[in-house]
Amino acid sequence: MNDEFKGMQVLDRRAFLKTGLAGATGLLWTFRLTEARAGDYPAGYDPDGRRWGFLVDLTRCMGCGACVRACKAENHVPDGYYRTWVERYTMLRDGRVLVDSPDGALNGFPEDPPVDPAEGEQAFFVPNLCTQCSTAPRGPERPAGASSRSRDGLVLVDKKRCIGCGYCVQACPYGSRYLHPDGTADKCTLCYHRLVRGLPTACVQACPVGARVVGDLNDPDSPLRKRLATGRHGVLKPEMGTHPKCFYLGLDQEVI
Amino acid sequence: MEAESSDGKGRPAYARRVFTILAVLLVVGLVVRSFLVPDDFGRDGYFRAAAPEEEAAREPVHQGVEVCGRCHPDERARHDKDVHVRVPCEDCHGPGAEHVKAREAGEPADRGYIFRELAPANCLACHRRLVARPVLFPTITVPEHYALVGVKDMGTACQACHDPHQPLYLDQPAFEARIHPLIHPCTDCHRDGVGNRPRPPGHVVTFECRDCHADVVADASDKAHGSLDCRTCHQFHRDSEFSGRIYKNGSPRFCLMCHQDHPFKARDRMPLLASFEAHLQDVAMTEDDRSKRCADCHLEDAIHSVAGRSRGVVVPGGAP
Amino acid sequence: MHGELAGPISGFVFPNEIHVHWTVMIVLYPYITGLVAGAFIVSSLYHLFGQRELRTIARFALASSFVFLLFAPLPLLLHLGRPERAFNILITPSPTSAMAGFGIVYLTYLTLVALEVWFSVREDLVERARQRGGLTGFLYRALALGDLTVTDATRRRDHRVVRFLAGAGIPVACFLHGYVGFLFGSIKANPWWSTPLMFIIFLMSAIVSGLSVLLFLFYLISYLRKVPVERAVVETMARYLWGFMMVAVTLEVMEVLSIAYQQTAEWEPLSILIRDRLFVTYIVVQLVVCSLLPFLFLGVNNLLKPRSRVSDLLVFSSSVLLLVQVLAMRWNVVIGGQLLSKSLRGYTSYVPGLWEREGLVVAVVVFTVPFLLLRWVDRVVPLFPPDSAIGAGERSA
Repeated sequence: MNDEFKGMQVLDRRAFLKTGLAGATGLLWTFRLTEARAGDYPAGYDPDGRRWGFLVDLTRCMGCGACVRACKAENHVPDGYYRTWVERYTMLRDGRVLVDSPDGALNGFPEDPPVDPAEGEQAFFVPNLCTQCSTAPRGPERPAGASSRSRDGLVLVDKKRCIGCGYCVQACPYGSRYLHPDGTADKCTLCYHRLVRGLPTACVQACPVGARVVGDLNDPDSPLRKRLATGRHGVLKPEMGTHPKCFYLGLDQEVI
Repeated sequence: MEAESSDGKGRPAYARRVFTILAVLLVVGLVVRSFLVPDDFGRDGYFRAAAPEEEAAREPVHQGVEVCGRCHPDERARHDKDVHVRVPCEDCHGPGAEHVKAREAGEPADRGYIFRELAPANCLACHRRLVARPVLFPTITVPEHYALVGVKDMGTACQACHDPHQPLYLDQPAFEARIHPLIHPCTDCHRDGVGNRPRPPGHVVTFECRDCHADVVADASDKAHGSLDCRTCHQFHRDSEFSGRIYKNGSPRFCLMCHQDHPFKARDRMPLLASFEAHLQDVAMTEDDRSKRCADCHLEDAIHSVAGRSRGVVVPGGAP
Repeated sequence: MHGELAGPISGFVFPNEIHVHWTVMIVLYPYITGLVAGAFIVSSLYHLFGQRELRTIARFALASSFVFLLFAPLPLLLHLGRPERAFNILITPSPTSAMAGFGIVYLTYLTLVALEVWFSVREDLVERARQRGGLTGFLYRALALGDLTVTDATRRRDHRVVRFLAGAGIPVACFLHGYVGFLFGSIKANPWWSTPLMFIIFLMSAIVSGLSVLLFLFYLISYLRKVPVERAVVETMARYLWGFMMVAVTLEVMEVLSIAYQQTAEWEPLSILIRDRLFVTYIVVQLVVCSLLPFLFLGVNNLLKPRSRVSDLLVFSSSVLLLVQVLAMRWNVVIGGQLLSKSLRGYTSYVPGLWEREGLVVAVVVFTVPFLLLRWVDRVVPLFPPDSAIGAGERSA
C-alpha cells in the first residue's frame, strides 16, 4: 500500500512540476519582456573618464536658500525632506556653537539666532548635499542591489529596485538620504540628468554668489579644480573613511 | 538500518521525499531567480547598469537664463546690465519648465512663480542683514535702510525704488539721466574671463572701468580695496560728476556699511570701527563731527591706493 | 547647545533625521528573531547537549522557534517602503550588504528548523494518520509525506537527523540573530550602534528572551491546564536564565561603560541621550527594574532554594521582567540610536502611533499571532510528551 502510494505521489509530482515549471517560465518570460530597457545617455555624453565632484565655498554662501528651493523644484523633493539644505553656524565667545537650519533654509533664514551680538565670535552658513562618497558605507547600503554607481562616480538609487528598507538612510553619516513617500530611498543625484546635458546642477545654477561649483575632478582645467586650487579645503567627517567628493572651501573644524 | 519502505539504497522513502522536495524548491527558486535578475545587472557593478542612465534621462526643470531670454529678451537685456546678472531668472520666478507648461495649458501666466509679489520679505531672503552673512554682500535691515534713504512708510515695497532687474538704478529719472552705460566687466557674463580677445562684431557694447580709468584701476588692483569691484562704491556715472560718484558722496554711513564693527566679524580682517564718532576721537579730530565725511581725510587717491592694513593717508583739515 | 531638552527636538538635528523611520516594527523584528534563536538553543540544550531535564520542553521550544520564525519577516514587510519588492533582496542580494544576508540566512534557518520539527514529530504524524480517517487522516498522511513506516530503525535514524540538525542549527541560529546585531553594530555613522560588541550583545539577549518566553509559556500553560509545574524543567531553565542574563546585561553595560570611561568625542552626546531621552526606558526599565530585580530574584532562587511557591513566584516574575528587559533593550537600541542626530548636536523624539501601519496595534497583533498559532500547532501534534504532567494535562483539558 505504501509503495503504491509512493509511486502515485512521485508521478503526480513530476507531472505537476513539469506543467508548473513550464507555466511559470512562460509567465516570467512575459514579465521580462515588458521590463523596459532604459534610454541611453543623451547624445554626446560619455561617462567614462569623468569623475564628478562638488565644491562649496563657505566664504561666499550668504544663506539665501535659493539652492534649496531650486533643488526642491528640480527634483520634486517632498515636503519635509531635503536633498540639499543650508545650516548656519553661530559661534560665541564662550565656546558655544549654535547650529540651526529652519526648514533646511527652504525660506532662507528669517532672523538671527537668539543670542546677544556682544557674545558673537563668528558666524557663517554651510550648505549640505550628498557628498557623493568615493567609498560610501557600501556594506549597509543596497541590500537589494538598488544602489548604483554611475561610471562617472555618482552614487545613485535605483528607484525601480529599491525596497525601501531604510538601511542606507541609517548608514549615511551625513543625513543626506531620506525615505521618499513613494517608499524608496532618495538622495541628491548631483542633478545627473542636468550634468549629462552639459548643464550645471540646479543648486549651482541658482546660487547668486557662486558659492557652489560642480565639475569633473579628473579634468585639471575644470572650474571645480581651478576653484579648489584657490584655497585650503576639507571634507565633512573624514574620519568616516568615506572619501567624499564634495569639498568645502574655508571649512571650520566645528562643521560636521 | 534497512526500513520497510526504503528505495533499495538504504534510505527510507519519507527521508528521500523530504529532501527531494527541498531540492525541487531550491532548483525552482534558482530558476525563478535567474529569470528575475535583470539582463544588465552586474555589468558595471552590483546594480542594474541601466539605472544611472534612467536617472540621466529625466528632463531638466530649471531652464537657465538663456532659455528664459528667448521669450523675454527685454527683461534679459536689462537684467544682464546690472548686479543681479548673477541671479538667474528662476531664483525669483520659479522653474521655467513649469512656467512654460502652465502657459501651454492656458493657465494663468504667473503659475509656477515663486515670488510673484516682490515684497520686501522676498528680497530679504538674500539682502536681510544677518550676522552670518558675509560683510561684503549688500544687506540691510528695513528700518535702517528706510531711515537712510528717507522712506517714511515702512510698508513700502522694495520695487518702489528698485527695479528687481536693475536694482542699482533707483528710479526712472535716474535711469534716464545716465550718460555712461553702467559699467559691466566682461566677466559679468564670461565668468572665466576673456583674456585679450577682441570684442566680436555685433557684440553688445560694454564698458569696463579700465577703458577710461586705466591708471586708477591699475593702481587699485593690488591694494587693499583692489579686491572690490569698482561698482561696489561707484554706482552712478553721470556727466555732472567728473570722477564718478561715491554713494552718498562719501557719507560715513556708506563706508561704515563695510567698516562698522559688526558682531561676529572679528575674523573678516577688515579695519573695523566701533563707531564713526569714536574714530574721530581716535584721530584727535575736534571739529564738528557731523559735517565730517570719510573722504575728507581718506582722499580718493588714498582710498584707491590704500595699502595692506594701513588706514590710508590721513590729511588733517580735509581735502586741499 | 546641549542644555535644554524639553521640546520634541533639541539642538540641531539634520533636517532629514527629524522623522524617526525605523520604528516599532524594527523593534519587534529583532525581538522576534531573538525569541527564535533563544528558543532554538533551549531545544538544542536537550537534543545536542544532553540536558535531560529539558526533555519536557524541548519539542515545545523547537515548535516555538519555528512559529516565531514564520512570523519574523512580517514586521519587516510591514516596515518596507515597497513591500511588493521584498523579493529583490533574494533575487539580487548584494554580496556586501549585511541586510541582504537576511534572505539567505532566514531561508537556510527556516529549512533547518522545519526539517528538525518534521523529523521530531513524524512519529506523531504517522500515529495520527493511522488513527484518523477522512480528511483529517488524509491531511496527516500528506504531512507525513505518505510514508507511514515507523520502526526502531527509523526512530534511531530520525533521532540522528534531529541531533544533526540541532547541531547545524546552532551556528545558523547564532548567525541569524547575531547578524541582526551586526546590522546595527556595523553602522559606523551611528555612535550608539557602532560597536563590534553589538553582535554578541544581541545574541546573548536573544538567548535570555528565548529562555524567558519558554519559562513564561511553561508557567502559563501549566496554569491553564491546572497541572503543577514540573520543577526539574523550571529549575534547570532558571539556572540557565540566570547565567545568560548576567552575561547579557554585563555586556550591555560594559559596552556603554567603556565609551564613558574612554570619554571619546561621542560620549558627551551619548551621555545626554542616555540621561535625557532614554532615562526611563534605558536606566529605569532596562537596567534597574528589569535587570537588577531578575538578577536578585534568580539569585535567591538558585542559591537559597526557597520553597516551591516562592520559587515559582521568583522565576515567573523574572521571566516576565526579562522579557520586558529584552524588549526595552531592542527599543533603546533601535529607537535610541535614531534619536541622536548624526550631527551629534541634537536630539529628536519619537512616540509610536497607535493605528498606523507601523503602529502599536499592528505590532501587538503581529506579536500575538505566533502564540495563537503555537496553540493550534499543539492540536496538530502534541508539543509536550504525553508522559509529562503538562502533556497529560492537555489530554484531560
